[in-house]
Amino acid sequence: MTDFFIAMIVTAAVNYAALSRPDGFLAIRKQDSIRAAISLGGCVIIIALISCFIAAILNLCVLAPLGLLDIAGMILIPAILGAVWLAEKFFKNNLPELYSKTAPFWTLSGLNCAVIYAVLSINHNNFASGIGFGLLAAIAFAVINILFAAIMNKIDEADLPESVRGAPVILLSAGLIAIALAGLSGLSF
Amino acid sequence: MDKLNQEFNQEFNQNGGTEKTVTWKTLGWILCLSPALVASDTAIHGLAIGIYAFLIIALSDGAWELKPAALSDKVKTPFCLICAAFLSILASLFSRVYLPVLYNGVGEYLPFLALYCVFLMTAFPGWDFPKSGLDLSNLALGFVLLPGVCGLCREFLGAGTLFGFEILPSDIEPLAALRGVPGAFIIPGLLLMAVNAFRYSYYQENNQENQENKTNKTSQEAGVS
Repeated sequence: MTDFFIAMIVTAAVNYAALSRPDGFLAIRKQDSIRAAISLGGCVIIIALISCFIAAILNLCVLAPLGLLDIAGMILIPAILGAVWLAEKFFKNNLPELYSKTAPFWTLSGLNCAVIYAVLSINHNNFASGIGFGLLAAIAFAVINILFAAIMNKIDEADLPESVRGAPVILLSAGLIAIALAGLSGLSF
Repeated sequence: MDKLNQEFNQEFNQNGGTEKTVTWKTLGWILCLSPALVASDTAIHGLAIGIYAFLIIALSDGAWELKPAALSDKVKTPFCLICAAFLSILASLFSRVYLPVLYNGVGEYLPFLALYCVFLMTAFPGWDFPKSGLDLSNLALGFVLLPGVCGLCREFLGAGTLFGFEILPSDIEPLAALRGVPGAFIIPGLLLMAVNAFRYSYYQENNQENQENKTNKTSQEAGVS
């Protein structure tokens, strides 16, 4: 439980998991509204849970005993992609209403999470901290994503020069958010 | 992704599908995705990661060309992702054994290169890598140069050095934030702004030339009639 708690704090605030990691670029994709951001966040949380669970089990039961941690990515990525594909089918058949709201994000967040959370959670030798890291990184990512969607709504109303519109202003505001989160990096355990 | 593809196709068709349109779009895309390369904090790291990305995308797209005929186009993304994951792990092992100094800087991020490459491959519909010289030149330009330029700017502004040599006098304190994660967003943002400014000026010049040609033609026709 202590491991889980430490993983939660470190993930949510200190390591600014959402933006310092390369999956931050999922957040800079332009969101239509806050609602889209919420559904994307939900999608990421589900996929992160699945991928971290699989990564932690494979890590503890197969990769670590056989000494295959160096080639973990090659084994984990196909396994997680398969699991995400199965989860997508499950949602499509059993929960069509929920699936229809999150449909555009499955491939995108599946690709991201499969690679990122697998690779990141492999560094945690403990099962609980591995899953805690993945889950809370996903929650932190969802929060940042919603925050970003709100900022983007404001930016859309602003009168900007032509060359700054679109991706440049998104990147610059992501940089400012990263600076704000960097202020929290002094907190460490 | 479909929306982006549509936008790309629309712009490609509107501008007559010229080679320069593709170049601008490629530059823009690679700059958009360069935050994925948080590792490009120095010029050498940026160039190295760019070369790795170029090799990975080239080889995994080449592997798709050699696929068995039974595979349909629907499985292109997972196929390329697995190829890219395999190649990125190979690159990681190679740099750990033969280039340990480089591995300390960028080794942690090499597995993410697989994702970066697959995004770029799926972003462009109808890229046939080994067949087109234009794509080859664009890829080489984008992958090797742009992360290198990002790394160069970040190293100069964030640490006051270039390729490890001190440039700024010790009185001037560099902006340490630009060497860190925020720089990975801000520097590509500024570079993309510059690219966009060039792009719009190019389009405007082209449009003006076209309009002038049209007006000349119409005035000539009017004169003839």
